[in-house]
Amino acid sequence: MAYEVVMGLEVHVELATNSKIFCSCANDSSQDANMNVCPACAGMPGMLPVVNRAVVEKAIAAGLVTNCQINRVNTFDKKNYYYPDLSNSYQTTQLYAPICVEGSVEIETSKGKKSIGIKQIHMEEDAGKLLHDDHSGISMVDYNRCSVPLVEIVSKPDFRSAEEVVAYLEKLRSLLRYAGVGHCRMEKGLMRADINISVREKGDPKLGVRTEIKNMNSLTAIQKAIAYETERHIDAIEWDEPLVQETRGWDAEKNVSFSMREKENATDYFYFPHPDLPPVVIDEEWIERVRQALPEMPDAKCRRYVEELGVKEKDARLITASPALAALFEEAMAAGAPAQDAANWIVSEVLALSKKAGHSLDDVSMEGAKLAEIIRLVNSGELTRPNAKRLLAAVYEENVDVAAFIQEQGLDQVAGSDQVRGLLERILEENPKSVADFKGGKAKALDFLFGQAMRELKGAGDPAVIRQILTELLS
Amino acid sequence: MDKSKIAQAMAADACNCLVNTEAAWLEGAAEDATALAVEDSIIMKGAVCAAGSHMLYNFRPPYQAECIDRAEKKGYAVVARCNMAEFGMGPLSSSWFGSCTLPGEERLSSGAAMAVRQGIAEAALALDEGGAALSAAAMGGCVAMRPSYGAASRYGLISYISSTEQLCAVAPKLDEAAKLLEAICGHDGKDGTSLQQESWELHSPVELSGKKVALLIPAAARSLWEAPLAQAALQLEAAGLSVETVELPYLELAPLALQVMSAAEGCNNISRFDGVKYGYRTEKYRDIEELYRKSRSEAMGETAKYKAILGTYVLSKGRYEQYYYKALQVRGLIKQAFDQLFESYAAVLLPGSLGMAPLPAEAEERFAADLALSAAPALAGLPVLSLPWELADGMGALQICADTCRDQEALAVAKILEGGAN
Repeated sequence: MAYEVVMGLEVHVELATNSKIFCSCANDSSQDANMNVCPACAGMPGMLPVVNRAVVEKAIAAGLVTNCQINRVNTFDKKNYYYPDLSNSYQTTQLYAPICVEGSVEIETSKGKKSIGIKQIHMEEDAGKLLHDDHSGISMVDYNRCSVPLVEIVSKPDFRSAEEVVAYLEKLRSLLRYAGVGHCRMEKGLMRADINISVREKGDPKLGVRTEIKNMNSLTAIQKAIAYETERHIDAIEWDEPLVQETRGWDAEKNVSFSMREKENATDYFYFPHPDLPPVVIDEEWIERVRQALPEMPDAKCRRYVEELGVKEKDARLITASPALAALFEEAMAAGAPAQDAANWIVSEVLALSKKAGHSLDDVSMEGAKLAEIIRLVNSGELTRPNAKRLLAAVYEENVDVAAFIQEQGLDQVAGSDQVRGLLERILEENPKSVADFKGGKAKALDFLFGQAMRELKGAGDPAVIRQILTELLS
Repeated sequence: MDKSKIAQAMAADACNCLVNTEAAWLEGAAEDATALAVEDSIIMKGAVCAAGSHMLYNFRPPYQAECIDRAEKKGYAVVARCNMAEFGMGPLSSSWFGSCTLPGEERLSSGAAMAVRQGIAEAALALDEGGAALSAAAMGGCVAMRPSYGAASRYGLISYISSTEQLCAVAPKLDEAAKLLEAICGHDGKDGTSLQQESWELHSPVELSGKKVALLIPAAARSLWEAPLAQAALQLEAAGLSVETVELPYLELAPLALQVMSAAEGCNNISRFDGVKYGYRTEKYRDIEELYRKSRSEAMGETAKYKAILGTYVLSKGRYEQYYYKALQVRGLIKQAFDQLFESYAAVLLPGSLGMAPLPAEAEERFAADLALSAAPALAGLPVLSLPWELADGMGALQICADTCRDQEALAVAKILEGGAN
């Protein structure tokens, strides 16, 4: 039997605003517990919400970059449930009139391009966090995250594979980061996905029983969870076992999904319109202002890199996925680096350095002018490639001054000087036996040649570079 | 203020009208300040603010209601906090602190009214949701004025029905009530429902002669109120106004809509009182569910529990459209009906109580019956004045309302009647 998995995503993105959605507390969950808390977000009575306009603007921006229609009259609703991390015992959200509807996001997978439908985007507030101390058996609550603004982006059930889900999340992350909507760091919980999943026989128009895997914040875990949950559904179908429509969690250590406690399965939230929040009316002018403030988005940027700058499409796509990389590329270009050279250095060397440093693509931070200078020195033959890599690493890690580092480390003497290269060539000519031995597989012969060179240079040369040039000349 | 007189009045309180009041407030008040009493739902920095409930018996908020800040700036000093129905819900007997009564009587009253009547304060602020605070004041021999919805900031009020509630001023005379409202009304950026108008000149001159006043007498109040209202009409006519009896479409739906909204919003507004963050927490519990259940069961009174259960019911899945949504529609219709009325009339007179202050045994029934009279203006967010008005069996409450933001017209009409009430 051939099966088809059908998935829809609900993605929560914390908005990058200075303050919370309904009070003036700082939007900064990284602080010590309960440092950014006031009577309003701590759920004290008599405190009234006032909508932060920056939240509305970020939500409009999210709608614009996902090709949504923006609703003109925005109302808020109360969603009621009891949990200690929810200070008011209700969450303010938009049920009846979400700010954005009917959009789409284009993704690319190994099977080509595909458009994923966006059902709606709505604004809401986050809840706090519970901290359980197993030692004392005490549960503590941190309200720093209470009332931090979120948008929830609800897709249509358009996904048919984990690859599509990952491509969508990466694309969404890129779009929202460019638009300044949120930082979208999944590892920090700033972007979280709930995956609605069902399996049906291929060709069956009816959808299977749906389960929802909640609060996923890693692409790797998402892929595993989808594979696991798909198998679980198929097993149930094949063995004719009942599947329950429910909310499930993902155990990233055991790699299994599990049924969640009753609270998460409560389906009644007693929604009603928020009586303390009058409608927020958005006019055409406001939308236009947000649109004008948007930077060039990744797809347009990629197209421009390829068509106008002649960058290879694969490199252009990789660089434009992250605003930080694109900024580096454009800075290097502005400082005179040839486009494809800049792209090559970023894609091969800079990314390797960021990986080594444990940075994500978005953390890459270096001066484009320095990258341009390094490229210039290499292209003009003043710096060997190995030395250039050393220099780049020092720039990436410590932001060293290019000229000072070259001089300090004597990179130019050896690399740039034809004299040194000439000397090494002469040594090779004078020692044909060692050259033959080396080419015959005796690695030790290189040590002899290296020793000769170092002696003649009287310590002025960089041993690593000399070894490098010798190896080049010998190969 | 005469501090020794006030201190004596406090000591002699024959009504149980004071709660959570600290002697230091009176001692520390400036001699030339006007003594103000505030209902227990009005949040005062550093004071215990319990809204008449055991649930908040130890709640000392670190912030203060906007109305207190504004009143203090205009020379008022809070000297007392007043008893009230638990969270303002239901009949006046539901306070955790016990009922407040008329002096030396069994009949129920409100803390704000009795603080004023006994000379503990020169004026008082109370929260009015559906007219109960207004009519309690009048039946207790005081006057009360509730401005248009959104005129006075609701910042720092322990809410019950957010959609309709508004502060009201209780005083011996209309001028004093209006003066207090002028001090506290005006736009407040901390309240999203606050009207944009910066200041409210309630005493600004209003030309009334030749204008029409509507007399609205719901069927249930006809026998009791026909004669007393005829008396009021004569007084208005003597002042150059003409009076006509009118009907208001959907009037009978108003109390039902308000009941639904009070259940839904009341249930929601008290759901934050869960025993987790502040206020009452049960002593022993095994898990969070039990902490919630026992804390709330032990500390909340019957009316609050009733609202919680009814609110949960009317908001439950599939019932929202049937109840709350319908209530909002009724509210819209009532507002429209009033709008139409105010095209021809400057003010509307209608009964505010079905008799004098109730005995404890009749409290429930009377509360519901009086709501049928006062729900409509509250739903429409109208400015309402409440005057004591002599009925056959004792002191009742008469309501005078005007169109939204025409508070000064309602006041001007009420002032014509003020003398005749006693």
